[in-house]
Amino acid sequence: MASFMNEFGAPNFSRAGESTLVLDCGDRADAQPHLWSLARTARSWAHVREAVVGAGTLSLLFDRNRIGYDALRERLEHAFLAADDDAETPRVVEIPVQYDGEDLAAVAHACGLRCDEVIALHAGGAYVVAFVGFLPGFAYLDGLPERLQIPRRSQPRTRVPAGSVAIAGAQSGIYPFDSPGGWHIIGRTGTRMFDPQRTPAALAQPGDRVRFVIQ
Amino acid sequence: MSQRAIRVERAGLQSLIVDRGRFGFRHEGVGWCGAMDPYGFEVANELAGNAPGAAAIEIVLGDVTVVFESPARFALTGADCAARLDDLPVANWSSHVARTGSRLVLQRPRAWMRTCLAIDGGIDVPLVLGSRTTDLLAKMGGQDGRALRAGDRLALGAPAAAPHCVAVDPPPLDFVFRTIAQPFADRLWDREWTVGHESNRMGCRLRGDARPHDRGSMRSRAVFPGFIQLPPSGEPIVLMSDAQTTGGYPLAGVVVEADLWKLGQTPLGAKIRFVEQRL
Repeated sequence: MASFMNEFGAPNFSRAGESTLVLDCGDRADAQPHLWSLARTARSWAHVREAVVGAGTLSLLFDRNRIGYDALRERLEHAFLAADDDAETPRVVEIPVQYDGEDLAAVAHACGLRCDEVIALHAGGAYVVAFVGFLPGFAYLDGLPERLQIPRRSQPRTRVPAGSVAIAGAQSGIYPFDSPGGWHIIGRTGTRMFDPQRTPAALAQPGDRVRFVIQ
Repeated sequence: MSQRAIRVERAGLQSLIVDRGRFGFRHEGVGWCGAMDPYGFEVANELAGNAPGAAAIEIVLGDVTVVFESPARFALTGADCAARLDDLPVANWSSHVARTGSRLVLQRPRAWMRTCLAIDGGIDVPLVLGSRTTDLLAKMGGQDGRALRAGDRLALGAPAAAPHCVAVDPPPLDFVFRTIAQPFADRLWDREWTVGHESNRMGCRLRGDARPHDRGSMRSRAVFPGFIQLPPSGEPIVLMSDAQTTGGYPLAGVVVEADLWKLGQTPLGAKIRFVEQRL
């Protein structure tokens, strides 16, 4: 992955607390596939307990009794140079949606669109799972059409129902469980985003493509 | 032969089946949800003669009664609930033996927050993603993913060997937390913080002399228990066992792992301090 290095310079490594190493690739969207692949590699290392991808970052929680920060950093740097982006054909996950969310009208108003235009734009988007986090099975989806990009709600809800399809900023997501949340709810789905009996338990994995289908 | 078991008669405020935690799935958004007082949890298992990490019950502020449906060795650690077994006092941080029909009664403790009740053989609930601990958010693990209720019958694993020790001294509890500095650390030191009443297993929310900041949120990245987040209000949140897996607030520090158990035992309203620990 020499071209990656040449084009963008060296990645930034840092330490958070006793046992966390953070690799930060900054704001570059093209870093994400590289991080998915690197995370899978790191997860197979015995001294790595967690390997979690964020937006432009990969965090490794390591076992301090088995490896030091410097040694792990060196190992990750080598893997970083050797790793390839995901070569496999991406999986497509289809999510049927009933577009009747509480915030649909407010979103339409904020975007200067009609409700049916919001629905057509959202369902017409090509989404990629950037990373999974926040809640079990919550996929952060890149690819929200620009005309739908508005800041999150000024007042977060204390309870967003499970199955809510929502948008905020440049992303869309589906709440797998009832939880507090600040995104705009535009629809709902019956698809189970997380099932501990399934392997993997999260339906949408990093790199998967997601299509919303109007019901 | 009927399976060894206990029955919950009074469940208390929030009693959960816990173990060390559900590790290795944070990349799927799954939190650890392990014991809030990992020290008390390990000692309780040791005193009960259990293998390390066996599932036990973590009780918030006492007020629990359980009935043994078979003979069992058990141990209590953490908050002292002036426990009685069939009206005889049982010492905290000690190992005891119950007979079939014995009733263990815990009262509300005067200090500390949580009591760990370990029983030999461990609480025998199914493994979910490699752990028996309760995830309240995903409603999985433990007893159907929820806190215990009166009437719950909990199966026990096969009886363990006799313990190597039967009593230990309680560890000293103070509210000073050694913390490794992160970019916003200057806002943590040299002041007292009060543990807010909306604190829970996800995070300890602090009140005090906070300076608001306008750094908003950053790109979401992985967070872990012990991380101290700084929302725009400037009032720190220390992430705890059930913490979410990613977050976008700036970091002020990371509490050292050896001190995290004390946070699980810090009462709401208590005053705490952070002191800088260098790596």
